[in-house]
Amino acid sequence: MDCPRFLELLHPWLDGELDLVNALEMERHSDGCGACLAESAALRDLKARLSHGALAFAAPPGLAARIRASLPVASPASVPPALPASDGSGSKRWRPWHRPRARLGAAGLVSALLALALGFWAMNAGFRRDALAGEMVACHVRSLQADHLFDVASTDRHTVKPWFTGKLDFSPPVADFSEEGFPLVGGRLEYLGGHPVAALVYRRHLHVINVFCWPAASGDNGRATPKTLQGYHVVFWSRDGFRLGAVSDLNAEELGQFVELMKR
Amino acid sequence: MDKPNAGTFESQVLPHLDAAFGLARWLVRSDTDAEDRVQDAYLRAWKSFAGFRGGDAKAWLLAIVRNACYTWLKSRRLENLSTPFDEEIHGPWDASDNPHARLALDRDRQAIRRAVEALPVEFREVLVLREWQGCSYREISEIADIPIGTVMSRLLRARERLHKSLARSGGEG
Ligand SMILES: [Zn+2]
Repeated sequence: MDCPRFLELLHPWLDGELDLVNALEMERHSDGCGACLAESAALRDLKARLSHGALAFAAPPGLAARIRASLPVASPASVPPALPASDGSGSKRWRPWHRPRARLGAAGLVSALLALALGFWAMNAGFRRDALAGEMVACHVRSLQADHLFDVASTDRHTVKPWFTGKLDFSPPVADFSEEGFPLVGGRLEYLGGHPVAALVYRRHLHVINVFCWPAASGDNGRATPKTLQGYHVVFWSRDGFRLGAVSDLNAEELGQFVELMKR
Repeated sequence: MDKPNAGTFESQVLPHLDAAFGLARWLVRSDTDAEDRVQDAYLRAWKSFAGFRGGDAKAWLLAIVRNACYTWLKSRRLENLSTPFDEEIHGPWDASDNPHARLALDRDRQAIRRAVEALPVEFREVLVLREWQGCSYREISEIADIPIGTVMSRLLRARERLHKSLARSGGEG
């Protein structure tokens, strides 16, 4: 790699947009080229100054209530389909980045009947799990709405992990996955089913991932199929005696990648 | 899976209020104008929510916010084409506008915010989406409705300008 090529790729590199092969070449070049190393240091510095909330704004208090009050009473489902997007805001123009979610229709009915056929015991376990997933989604939404994502804001797991000491009678597994594109941003205390649990907060581009963690009850097999509630994906898994559950509006594929990292 | 209704709108679209307000605030550069644009955008979002077929609610909302802001900026530009941007009126540090923001921000942040405010709107937009919201290039290109190549060149130029103006105002930087 030569210097012009390095400078061409510098911003995408530090924005995490390069593939691994190119990123390694960038590293190798800046190791041996002082001028390019200085360029990348300057950009890193600028990016650091722009982070840590320097650009953040919070919505003024009361705006959410005013918005709720201003919306028409009728549910949007009863409004005729949006006009072609002449005002630039319609949905027609909008191309979803990810596969559109399957609509609940005949398939939903079939799976509901199937669930009935599977017997009451399965339903019962499912209900409990659904209730938990519902509670987790509510926690997730609340954390975004109330601007209360974390009690401890840090990308450093050595800060986040000790923070839970004394607040919980267990020590949750905390890891950072910035390198993989899922930076740890903080942690907070939550209550699920009336019990205190650890909530770890990660980001993936635009999306927040809340990971809830608590000690596994004995006999919990740890398996549960991923769910989608109110547009949020919920994934459960177990490791090292803990039960973990992730909630996010991130697409299912990337959330799956994240969970695989957490399982390692 | 969900049929659009008040509940799904509430849980999928309303949680992104801070992001919506922040983007509007950076685009129109005043708290009260940003509030109006966000309220307008939420109304538009509500009306077209029935046509929203999944995908990414936050990015979908930000695209609507952005359009609402641009429409408003254009109408204003026609109104007073010759009036330059007046920091006394529109500056973010106007105490009557938001006294808390003024107190809470340290000097470096203030310098940064001023420098970003001074960028042309097309540059502010990509920079804020990238550095505050952490959007990927692809997400920015969807929200701002521009090709990825344009995202990259605007981001590059925004940072070059910012770097220069911060070096000018902040000495060492
Ligand atoms: Zn070089």
